[in-house]
Amino acid sequence: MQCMIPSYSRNEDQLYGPTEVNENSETSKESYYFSKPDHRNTAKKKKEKTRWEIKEGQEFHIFKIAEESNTEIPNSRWYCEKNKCLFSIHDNGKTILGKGSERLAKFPEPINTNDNWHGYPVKGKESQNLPSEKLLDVWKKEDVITETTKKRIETKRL
Amino acid sequence: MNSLQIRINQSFLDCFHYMERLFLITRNNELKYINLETLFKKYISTGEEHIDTVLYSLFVDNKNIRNISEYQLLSVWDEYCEKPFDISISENDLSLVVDLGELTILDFIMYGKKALFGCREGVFEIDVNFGISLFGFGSTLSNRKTSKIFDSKTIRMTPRLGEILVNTNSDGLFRGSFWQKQNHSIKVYEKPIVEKSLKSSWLNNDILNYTDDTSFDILHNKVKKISNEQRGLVNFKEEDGEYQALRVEKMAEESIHFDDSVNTNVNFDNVIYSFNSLRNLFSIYDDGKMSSLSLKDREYTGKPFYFKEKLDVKSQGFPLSSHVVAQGTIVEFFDSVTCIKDHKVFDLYKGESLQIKTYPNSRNYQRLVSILTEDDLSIHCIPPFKIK
Repeated sequence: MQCMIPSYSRNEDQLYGPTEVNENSETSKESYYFSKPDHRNTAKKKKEKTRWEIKEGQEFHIFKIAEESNTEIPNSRWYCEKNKCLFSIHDNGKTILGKGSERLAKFPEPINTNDNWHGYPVKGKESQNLPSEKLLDVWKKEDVITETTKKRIETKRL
Repeated sequence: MNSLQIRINQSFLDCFHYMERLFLITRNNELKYINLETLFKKYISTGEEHIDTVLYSLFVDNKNIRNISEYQLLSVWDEYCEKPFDISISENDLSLVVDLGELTILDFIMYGKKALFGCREGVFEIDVNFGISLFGFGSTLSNRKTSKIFDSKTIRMTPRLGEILVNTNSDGLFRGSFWQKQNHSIKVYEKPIVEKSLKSSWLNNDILNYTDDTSFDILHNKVKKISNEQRGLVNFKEEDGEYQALRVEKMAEESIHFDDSVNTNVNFDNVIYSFNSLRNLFSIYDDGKMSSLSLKDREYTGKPFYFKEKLDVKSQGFPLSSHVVAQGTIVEFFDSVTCIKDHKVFDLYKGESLQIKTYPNSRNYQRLVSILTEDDLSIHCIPPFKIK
């Protein structure tokens, strides 16, 4: 599964990025991503901290696909207004992103606009980790997910 | 293959076996049904009476199984377990119950002669208590409308004892009750039973409330016996499984958090998924092992029993959902549906499933598993005998 996700390298500031800017989107801007060690698969297992199954360089790709707008659709980042975060999913949820079999990822919006992003894998089992109806509808419309995956997320199975 | 299968090559949004009918939510968001006898005579019948009797008993009239010899059962099973009945139902055989309009249905159940729809828009109900006229009706049913009984987005409903556990999107668990003095509409109480609930299910007359895939509380209910006259207030059907005249007097009067301090024989650290039937707690471990622990009669300190075969959680990922059938359990993985019965683990379906339904409390449909995908609906019958 992991080999299907492109992998990136850190820059000299130990960050990943920047993401590409969508000229057609007013809100699009360069973003940088920081991989937090406590969410890496080498970190000690803690119930409150999910850990990535994928490689560190692949984390950025999962963030990038959520953050970069579709150039043909304005403001089309995978932003969830309800939970103030980006959600991401890879290959219709087929890719297991986290060591706890998580197939979704959450990137909380930085408090300051110039702060770096970070994220972690989640299961959509609690409302704060559940993409909004609006985002699920966008994902379905843009063929990011199938009807089955949409229903699985919405009924807290994924 | 360890199941008999009817595969309906049409796409539906949801389904439910009830009152000798297969109720279906069509792609146009209409609730329709086909009489199971019609389904059998027109689409399944082999023309050989002894075979048809066995098939009819397995899929429609399970009570009749006891009248069929093991030899007869096994011979039909061996002949048809590798050959699904592939059918397409004619529009003319589907009768309209109600047009569901723009509702986004997330769960659909039938209980107490009502159809209940858990939707993005709340919970809606419709009576299907039409007596004899239901079965020979023409226009009256299609004119019916659903009534909204609850406002919150609802993802799962679990009925028993004239009560419905309503799981909402916003994490709360709510109580819906059939026991109304004024009318036959269900009342869903505004105050949640508990604030946090991922899923919930009945443990005999109590409730297991899961706060995540592996943690749960046992909510003790106080129940009382009622007379048959009092019971008549709710229109239970045989399929509802309400064989005892009981009613919940006080819901969740006591809560017990179930962990290894309650049962020192279970190591919950390695459990990745838990679910339960009316009597047993099932635990799936990170190495694919599965155990069953009897929680009968509020006795929680027993020793778990480990199944011989393992689930393939390494390649399939953690379970997405679980269901119970007569003498077996069903586990949904990302791209398969697996049955565990008599220590054997076998796939019922390879692929992604939109919805899975089982009917463990129904005498007639307790061995059936309905698996909906985006393309078809397959109805599996789990063996009524031990798998060797």
